[in-house]
Amino acid sequence: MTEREYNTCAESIANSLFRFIYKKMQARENAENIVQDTFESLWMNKDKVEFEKAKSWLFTAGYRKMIDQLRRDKKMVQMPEHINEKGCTQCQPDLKEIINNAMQFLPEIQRTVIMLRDYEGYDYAEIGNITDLKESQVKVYIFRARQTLKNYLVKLEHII
Amino acid sequence: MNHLNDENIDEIMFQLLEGEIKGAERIRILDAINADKKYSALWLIWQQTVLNVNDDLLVMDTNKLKKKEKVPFVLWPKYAAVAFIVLIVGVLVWNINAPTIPAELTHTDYKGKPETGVIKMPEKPITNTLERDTFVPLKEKIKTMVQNSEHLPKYKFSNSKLEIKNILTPNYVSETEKFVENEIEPKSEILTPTKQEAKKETLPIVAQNTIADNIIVTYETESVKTQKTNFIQDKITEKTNLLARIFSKPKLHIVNDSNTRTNKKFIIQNKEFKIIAGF
Repeated sequence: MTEREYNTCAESIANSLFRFIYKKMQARENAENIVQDTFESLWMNKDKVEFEKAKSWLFTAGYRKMIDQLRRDKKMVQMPEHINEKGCTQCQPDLKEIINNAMQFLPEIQRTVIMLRDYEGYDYAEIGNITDLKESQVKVYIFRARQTLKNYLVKLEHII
Repeated sequence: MNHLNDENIDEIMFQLLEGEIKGAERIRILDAINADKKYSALWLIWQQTVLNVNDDLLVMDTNKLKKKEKVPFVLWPKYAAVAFIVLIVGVLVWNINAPTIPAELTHTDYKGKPETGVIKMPEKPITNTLERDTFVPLKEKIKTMVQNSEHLPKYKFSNSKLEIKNILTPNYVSETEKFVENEIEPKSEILTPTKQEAKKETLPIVAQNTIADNIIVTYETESVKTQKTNFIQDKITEKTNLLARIFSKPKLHIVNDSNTRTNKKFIIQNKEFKIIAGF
């Protein structure tokens, strides 16, 4: 990868990587630090990484750095057994905010795969490469994530 | 596809959402969903589970992630130095291969193109005793020519007759000259000073000898000689000072040029030359 290609990656991928990590970290500064660390790693390995595979490489490296960071900070969000109705009543009626709140209740891996699927448009195989999962596992996690979101929205409808 | 029921509705809607069901079957299932009020409401909720990237315009400053695209500092001066050496060698080789003219050359050795048209006729020995007796001796001819060199007229051929007597000895009139005037036919081609050797041979012997002996154009005055010598000297001086002309008071510019590998190009310029090199 040349310097120009590296800069192209920084131009086109950095924001999506930042968005992906920020959604999970919920801290802008931490997310920016991880993105910078990830791109620094890419710069160090630019001779080994092909330009065509740079996006997948960045998301994989960024995801792993994020997991390490979360483990260090012990801020892993735990999925509750059942959706708290009290929490739902505090949700705002704006659908975007509702979905964002519902995302917080998803397990870490489900949130990761559904974000990679919807935000970045990766297929099951690419998500599997990033998260070290099999395609079938990825599909199951995505299904469960959507089902959880659907259940959250259904219950919210009942309340509203 | 199985009939829609509460057990498989989630799975079917997930497959619809992920695009796993396509074509006619997708249309058929969607029609079935729309026909059922409960399922159509559920389908709307399923569609809301897809995250929309436009809802989250989270951006960061990507400029701080970029690296400067620059050529390593140690490389471009190296290229420039090599290019400069190649340029110098090229100029030197071009100079060496140019035709050399020794400084001591005289105009007789110079084989270049003459500045003025010179008519040189082949000399022929006078074998005819009649000619030798009737013509002015060679020494006398040269002497006369030298005396008249400053007022040497151009050879004019007036309508087929040679004015030979005006060239050599204006006051000398001989029998032979009269004979020449009477004998030469009016042929304008003969009178043209060209290299038409064959036509000149058709002239009468007497007339040929007269032209050959009297129109001696190899004779050169001092002024002509000086002019030629100056011309040669000018050429030599021009060649010798070529490098000095190129590199006299040069100005070296380095300007940006994105078409080159180093994004730089070098301009060496003085009043006469402008050399542009990009690498």
